[in-house]
Amino acid sequence: MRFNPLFLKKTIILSSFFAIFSICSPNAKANSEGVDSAKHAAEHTEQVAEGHEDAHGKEGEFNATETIMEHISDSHDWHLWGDKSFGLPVILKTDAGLVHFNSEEFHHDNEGSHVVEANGQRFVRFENKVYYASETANEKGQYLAFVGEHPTNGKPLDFSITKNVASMFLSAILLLLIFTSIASSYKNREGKAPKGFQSLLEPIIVFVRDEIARPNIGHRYVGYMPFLLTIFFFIWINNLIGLVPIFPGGANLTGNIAVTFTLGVISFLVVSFSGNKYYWKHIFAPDVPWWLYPIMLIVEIIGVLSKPFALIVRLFANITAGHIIVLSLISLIFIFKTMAIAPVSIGFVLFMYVLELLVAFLQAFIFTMLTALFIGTAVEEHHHYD
Amino acid sequence: MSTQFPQKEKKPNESLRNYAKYSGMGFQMIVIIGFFAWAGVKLDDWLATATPWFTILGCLIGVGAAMYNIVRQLK
Repeated sequence: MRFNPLFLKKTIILSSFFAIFSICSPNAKANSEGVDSAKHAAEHTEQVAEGHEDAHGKEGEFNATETIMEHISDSHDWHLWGDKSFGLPVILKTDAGLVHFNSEEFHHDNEGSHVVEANGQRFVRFENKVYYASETANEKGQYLAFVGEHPTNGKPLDFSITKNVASMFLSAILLLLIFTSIASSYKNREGKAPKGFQSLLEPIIVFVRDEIARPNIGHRYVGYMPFLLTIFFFIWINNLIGLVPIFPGGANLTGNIAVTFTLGVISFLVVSFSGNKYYWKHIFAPDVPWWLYPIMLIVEIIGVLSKPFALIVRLFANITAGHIIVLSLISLIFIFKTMAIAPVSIGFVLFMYVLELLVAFLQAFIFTMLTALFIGTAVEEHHHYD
Repeated sequence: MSTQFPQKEKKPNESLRNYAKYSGMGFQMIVIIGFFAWAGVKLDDWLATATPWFTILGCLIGVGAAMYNIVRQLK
């Protein structure tokens, strides 16, 4: 029964790969077919929209891969709907000190053709990265110099409050509000039955304690409870916020490899610092024949590093796969350009959404449980493999 | 909160824990083979060998070490 969602998840990841492929291939065909019409359209827009200029060039042409990638990746703007979006602060550490401006000044340009001047320096944005602008534009109107696909211009260090960062601030505030209110209600109503929001979350907190911490860590679980509860609720809340399609949600935070990497590193550090002598002896002096020792030492060290790596990739892949599937299913309507496909699409999306609600919880649970399991092996007194 | 803990062994949790353990072992296997193969390729690049002996050796050692590691953990 418990296994079901796990196998289902495997299927989902697999099918998401197929979904990407199946979207890519008809799209590539459509592109080659649509070259003429695209050219035509480009000429048309050039003539008509002089005030409009950049962006919105290929209207009518739908590129599913581009749309999906745009939705699941981080961005300097927070897109709301249609053409509506609002700017977030761009903070750059340049050679000449900190520079900041609102990301609306890029005018939605992501091709490197709109120069923003700030503090006497010139910047362009290309594929979500900020570069120092070149003096003059190239033949495509980009203020960038290219070698192959990649610009050779220098990049300032980007400390911008991007969509993901802003979303994380929101969820941090939300978590603080929820848990300070619950903490105070525990204090006020000590010894009494839980009430209101407290009674909603108490079973979950007790679940983390009784199902995750105690069975895996053993009698020393109390010290790790704050950490385990924090990662559990952080991942869960952010997974859920990521599922909300409009404003406060919509950022793919837990499907961002940098975020999951940070979570993985934190859990690695906690495991490493709580490791006792049995744990370290097992790694640096494994019980093997002496001639195998050099190889097994490497193997053990790889084993230690591969555990948090598996955590990082698992969370990242699961959440990103979920987002890609939902977006792919919706994209089908625009790829086939017919309303007839809409009921099927919407039906599948609703099904996926329900499944994603489960996955949001499951991934938070698995991340926390594996961390607890690793802590458990690190603090175990009489070491043996079970 | 109450001080009583449920003493009964949870079956579903056990299966999930097994999933965690064995998927972790599989992952470890991939990384170990990958690391040794990569080291072999790098060594061949560095020494500019005509036949990629170190790549071959690295792959074999990687597979052997991964197998040995799995058997050791399952014992």
